[in-house]
Amino acid sequence: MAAPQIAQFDRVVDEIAQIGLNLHKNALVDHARSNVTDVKKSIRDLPPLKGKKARSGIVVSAGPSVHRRNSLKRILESGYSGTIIVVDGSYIRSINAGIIPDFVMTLDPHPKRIVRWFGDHDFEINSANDDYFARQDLDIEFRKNSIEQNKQNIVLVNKFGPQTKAVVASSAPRNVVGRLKESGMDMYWWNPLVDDPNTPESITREMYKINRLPCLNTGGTVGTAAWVFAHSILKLPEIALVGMDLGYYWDLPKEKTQTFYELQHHLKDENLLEECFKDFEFPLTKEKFYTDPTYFWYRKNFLELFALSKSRTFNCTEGGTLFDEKLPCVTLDDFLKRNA
Amino acid sequence: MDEQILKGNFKVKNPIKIDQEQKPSSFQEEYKKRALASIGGSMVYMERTNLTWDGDK
Repeated sequence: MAAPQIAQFDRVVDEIAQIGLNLHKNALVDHARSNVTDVKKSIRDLPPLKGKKARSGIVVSAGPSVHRRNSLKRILESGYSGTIIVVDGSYIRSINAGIIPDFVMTLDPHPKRIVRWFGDHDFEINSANDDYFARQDLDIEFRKNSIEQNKQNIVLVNKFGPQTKAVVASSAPRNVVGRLKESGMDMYWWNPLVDDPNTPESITREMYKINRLPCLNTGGTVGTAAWVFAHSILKLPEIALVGMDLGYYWDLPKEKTQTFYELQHHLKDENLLEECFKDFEFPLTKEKFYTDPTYFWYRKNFLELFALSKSRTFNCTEGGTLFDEKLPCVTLDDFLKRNA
Repeated sequence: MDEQILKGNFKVKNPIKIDQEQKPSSFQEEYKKRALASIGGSMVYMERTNLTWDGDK
């Protein structure tokens, strides 16, 4: 019965691009318009990197391996002095681990969820009836949903914000922009490259007309956008990916994955649910992982974009589903030694 | 409904904020929106041939 499983999985994966378009198309242009008055600098204005910062970089995404592999502590203890780019979801965790990143990247236009990564002044309103953070798998502290912890995060971001450059997509919601401004982060703006700008209905071109910002492809997620930024804008000759799991550890029950109940609702048939997960064996360790259609879509998109580049990128996640014959997986320690 | 609940013979000191986005036309619609927000990814991805674009140059 393997064939129907693939068919169901692929059917959902094929639907994601259209779901994403329907979901985000209005917010993209609306947010670009409402953010335009705050656009003072773009990623074109970034000062050039110097010394070791220019030689290599680590992109820290927000997968569960960051916690399980103790990646941030290992980076800190190695004394690594290259460039560190974190996604919004791993920013607070990074500061708590003692690493002040050079850049933090934010992309997602969600009006209530993303601001939590920077400490949310409207925490109670925005978290009502939403268990998104209870099922996110990077920082288990975020699962506690605590008001006190949110207050501490606000203080933490305000304290360390001025030491990190924010790489902000024009799609960011106003509450995220407000928090970045409040914390004193230096903001560098860009547009997500979401479709072919040469087509008449292009959303990318519409955003560009509003703000003239350079556009970066995102592969649908901030982690991939951070890699495009490291490769195409910072032009880092060697890049490591950390926390780019794009999948789940084998011991995580499927009901605790980020899309389980959403898939159940989308498919309208509980019997089809089991078919929406796909297994992988991580090549370095032979450890087993599984993925859902959304993470698989991110994976497929990343590998597609990676194939367009000539980047020397190493996946140092030490787990997950992101690998193929062109993208080598090495241990984080190997990368850190090479770039000491 | 919210206004009816708040009716009384006194005035509250602080203005009551009602989040417009918290008023779905139905629970089903709201749940569907949430479900799609999780499945549909963080961003649109339709362009598969370029990493960057900076206007017609």
